[in-house]
Amino acid sequence: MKLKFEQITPYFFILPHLGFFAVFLAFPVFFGIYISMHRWELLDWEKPFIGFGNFAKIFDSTTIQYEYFWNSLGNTLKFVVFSLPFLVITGLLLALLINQNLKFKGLFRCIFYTPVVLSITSVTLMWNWLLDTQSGLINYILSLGGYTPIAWLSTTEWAWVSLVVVTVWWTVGQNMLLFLAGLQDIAEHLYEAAKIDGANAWQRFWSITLPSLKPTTLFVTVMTTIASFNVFGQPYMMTRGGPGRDTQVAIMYIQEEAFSNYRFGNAAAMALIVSVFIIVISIFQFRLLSSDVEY
Amino acid sequence: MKSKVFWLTFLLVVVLASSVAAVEINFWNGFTGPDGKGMAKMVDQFNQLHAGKIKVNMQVIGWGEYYQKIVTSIASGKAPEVGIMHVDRLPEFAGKGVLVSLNDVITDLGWSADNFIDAVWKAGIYQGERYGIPLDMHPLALYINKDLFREAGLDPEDPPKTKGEFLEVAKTLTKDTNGDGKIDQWGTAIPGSWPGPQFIVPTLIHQYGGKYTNQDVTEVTYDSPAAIEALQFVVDLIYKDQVSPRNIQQDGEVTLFRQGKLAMHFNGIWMINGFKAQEGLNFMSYPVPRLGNQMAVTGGSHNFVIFRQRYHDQEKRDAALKFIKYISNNSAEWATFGQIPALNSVRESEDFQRLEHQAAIAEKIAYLVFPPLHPALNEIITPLHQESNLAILGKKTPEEALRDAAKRAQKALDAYHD
Repeated sequence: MKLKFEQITPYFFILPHLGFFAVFLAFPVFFGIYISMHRWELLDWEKPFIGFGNFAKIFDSTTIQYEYFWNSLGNTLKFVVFSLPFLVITGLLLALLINQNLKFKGLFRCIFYTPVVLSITSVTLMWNWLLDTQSGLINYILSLGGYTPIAWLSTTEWAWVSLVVVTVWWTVGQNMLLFLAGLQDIAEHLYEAAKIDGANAWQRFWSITLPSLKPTTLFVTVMTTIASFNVFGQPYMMTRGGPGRDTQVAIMYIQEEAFSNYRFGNAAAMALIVSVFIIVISIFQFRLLSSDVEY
Repeated sequence: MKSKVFWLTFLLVVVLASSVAAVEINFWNGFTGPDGKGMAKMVDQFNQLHAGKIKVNMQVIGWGEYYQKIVTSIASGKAPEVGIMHVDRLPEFAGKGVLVSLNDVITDLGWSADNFIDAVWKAGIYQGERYGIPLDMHPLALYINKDLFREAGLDPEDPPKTKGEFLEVAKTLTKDTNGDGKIDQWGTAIPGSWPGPQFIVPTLIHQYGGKYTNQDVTEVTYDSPAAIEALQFVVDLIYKDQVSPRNIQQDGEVTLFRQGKLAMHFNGIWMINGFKAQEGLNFMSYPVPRLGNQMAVTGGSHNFVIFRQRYHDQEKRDAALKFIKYISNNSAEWATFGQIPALNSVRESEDFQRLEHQAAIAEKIAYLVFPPLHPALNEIITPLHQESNLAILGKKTPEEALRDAAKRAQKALDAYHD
């Protein structure tokens, strides 16, 4: 009897989390799949089952959804490709920097991490002022140096640059913190041994730091990819998807389809397609990076 | 001790009794600016007048999320009794049967077409039924910087009213003030983002004789020759006449106007209070000039609506009507917080005429144009916004832009009718 109770005990410990997981994650996922199989307009009484009708619409090149959705998903993929390297590498560099024995180490950690706690509204408001074509600080500085002002948010190329810069500024502190934790886990004796063997700083970084950080790098890369896939606030508040629809990302269009066009079924189907992309890419990243990771 | 218990009980009973007796109605709107504070004040006044009988609970949700919240609240059976809705959003909701027809209500209130301008009266009617009771109208307006006008020897009391005058004034006021060879003061500004494609372009299209759609809203017509000509005029202001800066980003032109570097600024009437609060800005508001061959100005209108409830409650319905009537009749006070009252009588009242900015803009309110009344409105006009954006940024010609937009809108419209 006593043995049995001991066997059950662990389950009690995970119960609260399981509860939240079931209600806020598992249920919405299955409900989303359910919705995607129906013509689901929130204000309609009847929500008929249409099988894969919503998906068919998205893959049918004659529909308006096809044109909008694949454009927006393409933009999301662009954002992932543009932002991922900067978010990971800058995070690592900052972590290496503040892992040194510097003066004011704590202060720098704080400064680099602070933007993470800001809300997207404040971040974009501030950057919109900085990046303003006519009266922004950045163009003012450029004009002092004799350069022509740049339309940071109203030309496609610079809009992407701005979105990536703002995203890096806003979220890189998170990655920095993860890398910092990884760096502090590396045993000091490895570096000492390398020094005795005559390895220089670069060799120590390349042969000790980087390989030891592999699990952290994998985690950071996968999490950053997922976060970048879900990008919404930055383009929504800074470019409104413009010029034209050049920076309209998938979540923006899904939101429009659901709440402005009221086609929840379509929107759910699109959301599922986006998650398939995320899953496939994450698996690929695991394969690539985890070949010799030991947990 | 005993008396204390008695009085406490007495108080409790009184409080309970009064709260039970009062009919509570919920009133949702998206007035997050000074207009919301004004509305809250009027709701308080109404509640005081009807203390113990009716209690209105006002909830303010930013317009951005307002409609999402309304949709979900209706779907879950928790819709408020009274809400505010933009007149162009009525068909989306009326088409789904979630709004109560207000035909009798408006008769009860004693109002007919004579009490409103034509456009706003008709816009509240969808498929023969009235669903909205107009509260206000908010057109695009012309804001001018008085100081810049005076500096150039122009009369700020006499703003440009025609295309010729407008171009002339815009050219005079576009200049390089510090002599570094770069223009740093602009005659006007055409933004590629809000409110450019949403208000300025459609205003011009209608002034040139174009229309969003045909009468029955079955055919998208904003790629007509007149519309193309209108957009060409807008684009020319930037690239040919060069009286507007290029590549303006979100709210960039508002900053320029606040800084006193922009002479004639197009924006909605809702900007008045913000500009008044701007230190050192000496401005005046006017109706949009006639830049095409006829007068027209696009805008919106806030309407009262009553949401269909799962269980009908006559008492609540009556309370809601009383509330709508009270606010409408006192809307001159609300106008001080930004908008133009919908009722002619209120607009003609001395109280309203004293508001120099609002009253000046209201002079041409009869030319107000609303977006087409159709449940798929978003899909009809979003392509126009996105493609006008490209034309204003110089990435497409007006003709290409409007053709592409109309094609996409037509496709969505056809799919909607299927």
